[in-house]
Amino acid sequence: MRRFPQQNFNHGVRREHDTRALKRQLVMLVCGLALAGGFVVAAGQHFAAVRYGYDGEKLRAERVRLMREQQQLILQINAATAPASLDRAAREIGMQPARPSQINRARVNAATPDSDAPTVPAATTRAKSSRARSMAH
Amino acid sequence: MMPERSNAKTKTRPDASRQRVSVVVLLLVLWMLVIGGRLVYLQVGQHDELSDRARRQQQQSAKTNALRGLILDRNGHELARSLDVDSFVAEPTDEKFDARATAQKFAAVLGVEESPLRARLEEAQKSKRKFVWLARQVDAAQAKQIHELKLAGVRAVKEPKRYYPNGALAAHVLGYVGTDDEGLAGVELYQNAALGGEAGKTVFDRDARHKAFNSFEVEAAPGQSIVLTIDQNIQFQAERAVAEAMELTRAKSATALVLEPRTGEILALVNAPTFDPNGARKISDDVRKNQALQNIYEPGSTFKVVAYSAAIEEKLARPTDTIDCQMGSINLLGRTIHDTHAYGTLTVTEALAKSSNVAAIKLGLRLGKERMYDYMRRFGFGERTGIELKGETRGIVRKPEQWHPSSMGSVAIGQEVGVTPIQMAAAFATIANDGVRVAPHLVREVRDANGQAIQRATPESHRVLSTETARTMRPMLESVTVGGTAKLAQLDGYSAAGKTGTAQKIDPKTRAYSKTKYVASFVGFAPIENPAVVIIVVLDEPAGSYYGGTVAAPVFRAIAESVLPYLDVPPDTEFKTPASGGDYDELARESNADGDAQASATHHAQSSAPESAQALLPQVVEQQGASGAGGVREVVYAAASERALLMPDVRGRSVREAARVCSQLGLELEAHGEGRAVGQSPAAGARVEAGQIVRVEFGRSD
Repeated sequence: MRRFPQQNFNHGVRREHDTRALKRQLVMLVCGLALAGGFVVAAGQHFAAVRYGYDGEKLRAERVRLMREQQQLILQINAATAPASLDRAAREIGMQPARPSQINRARVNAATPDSDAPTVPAATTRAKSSRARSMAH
Repeated sequence: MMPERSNAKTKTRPDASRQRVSVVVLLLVLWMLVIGGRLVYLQVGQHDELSDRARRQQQQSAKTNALRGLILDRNGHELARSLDVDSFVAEPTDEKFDARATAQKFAAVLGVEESPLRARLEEAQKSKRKFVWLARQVDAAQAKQIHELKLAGVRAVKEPKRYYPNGALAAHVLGYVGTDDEGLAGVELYQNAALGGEAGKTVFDRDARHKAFNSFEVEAAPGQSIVLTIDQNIQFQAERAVAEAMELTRAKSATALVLEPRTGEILALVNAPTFDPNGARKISDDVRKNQALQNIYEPGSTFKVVAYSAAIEEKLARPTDTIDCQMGSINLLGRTIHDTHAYGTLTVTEALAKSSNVAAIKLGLRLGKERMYDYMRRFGFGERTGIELKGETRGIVRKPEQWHPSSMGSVAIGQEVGVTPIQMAAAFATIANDGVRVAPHLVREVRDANGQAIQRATPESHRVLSTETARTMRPMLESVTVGGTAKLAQLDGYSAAGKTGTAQKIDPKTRAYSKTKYVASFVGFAPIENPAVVIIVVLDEPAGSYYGGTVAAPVFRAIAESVLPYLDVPPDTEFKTPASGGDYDELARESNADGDAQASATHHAQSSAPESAQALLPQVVEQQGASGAGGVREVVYAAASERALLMPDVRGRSVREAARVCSQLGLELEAHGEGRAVGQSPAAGARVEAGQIVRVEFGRSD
């Protein structure tokens, strides 16, 4: 039984546009997009937070490592500048602790503490054929 | 044509889309209700259990070690510092853990025996223990090697380790810590609470691979820093002088203290033999004992200063008064006490310089036992000084009612009393400080983690003698070094005062005074007018010569001559000619004639005289005044090259002594033969340069 013709010539039929339904669909679409967008942004932020977390942990570990290395280096400096080390090093280059009689006490003008040419009182001036000093600090 | 739809009169049909939306919304609401209900159930009903599970799965917390505070010297140099280092633990329950391979590889890196370690690991594996220490506080280089092995079932944990960068320097002051970073001796023990900080905590969020991606940290509070009164350079100079004295005298032990009399600050505290606190757990208790505060000894003649100063304070004697020394003996209730030499009438000053026992006893008798006891206590004998170290002893001072009738014959000359080196140093510091005794102390201040001082030393002080008496005593004590028993304590460029002591030890077997075991000591200060330091040197059982003036006084000299220029103390006497060692020989010969010197004095004086004194000495200029007091102090070294040295005469010395002399001058010794030096090249007095090889022939006289 054939109820419909094989060909319908209804291309000329104009459907009624329901604007209210269209609006609702648009609202739903916008809401859906907003929701999806929110999820995408949230996911992006989550992954960024995770990435920053890993980076932060790397930096934290690096900071701890560097602080330990710094402390190790401070320790090495302390060992290298220990009086025994300096004494050994001084003797290796042919120096020895000065005796009191070897030391000319030159009072330097307080106004020019950085002067390289200390004023040596004539009465205490001694032969200065060789001068050397080793800073212990 | 299509009919106009708009004009169609049709009844409005139900809106299909609204229905569909309603259905969708309904479903969504239902879904949300279900989800919401489930969420409520999980987050409220199951909250605690699930939270715990999540924390266990995702979070890990690690204890952050609080680093122990620093120990600094008076100039801020670090004497002790803690670092986090790796310790390694095995987890025998780990499926991939291989006890044999782990033991083998660990033993190879750490240089320990493999079999005990392997047995321990296999035992732990059998008993299914979760945790076994493999190695604790491993050095950085070894830790790196172990990490590179990537052993399964082995992990590293951080533990703090205490380091002492100066090695054995001031070991008895600093003390040491145990494996768990707890102070076990010295300042480490006394200040343990301040030095130890509060541990922190770090909480990590972990991913499925146990990799941390987020953390929350409660920071550890580091310990407070302790600033000591010790000066590491003075400590080093004192330790070197004591070590040389130990080698020369072959003493059983030695102690030296350098004290600033005005402040009571201890600049150096030396005990020999000493130890390296970096490995203190392997050292015997005897070596770890702090002799300066724990060794009670009979002080002998150094104690005479109490009788002399008390007699002057009580106006019972004046320096110029004469006193009959009765040709060297005095009888006290049937007991005869002798002097080493028979002296007739001497002034009080001369009697002190010659160390007359008779004179000291006579002054003691004038005082009476009550006043004598009172002055002993006022000087601090019989009481702890209060130094910030544990284990200090009081010494032995008996009350007058416990004295024997003839006890004054002993007490006045430093017998029947027991003192510690620090008590004796404090007593002399009283005279050096115009009669005011300032309690000796070691801790200058305590600083918080930010370096701010939160506690400063406030040592107790009290007057013992009047200023006049103290100033009267100083030249009297100077006479001991100028013409008395301690000529070897004379300083180059500085005046010095002090007193020698040579005390017989009690033989534990016979319970009588030993004739072979002595304690030789010298305690003095310099310069006389404005004393900058008080130095005590105590040598226990020196072999050979045992007189304080012979074996201890040169150590005082060595320490004082290095410390005074370092402290910017201006010289107050003429410098001796440094071109030869003749003055030492002469002094030693003179000392032979005195009570406190013996036959080996000459040899010892030659040995102990700095060989640099036999060289031509180049001059160095030290700037003074700009930095002023409290400025940065320097140890001055002089070049020992370019005709700076004359070859010393090493003939008659042992190989060890010759090696030491050459080492001091920077010369390389080429030794031939054994015994004593019989020849040398270059000859004595020839010009040599540092680094030059000198050839010395050794031989035996027989």
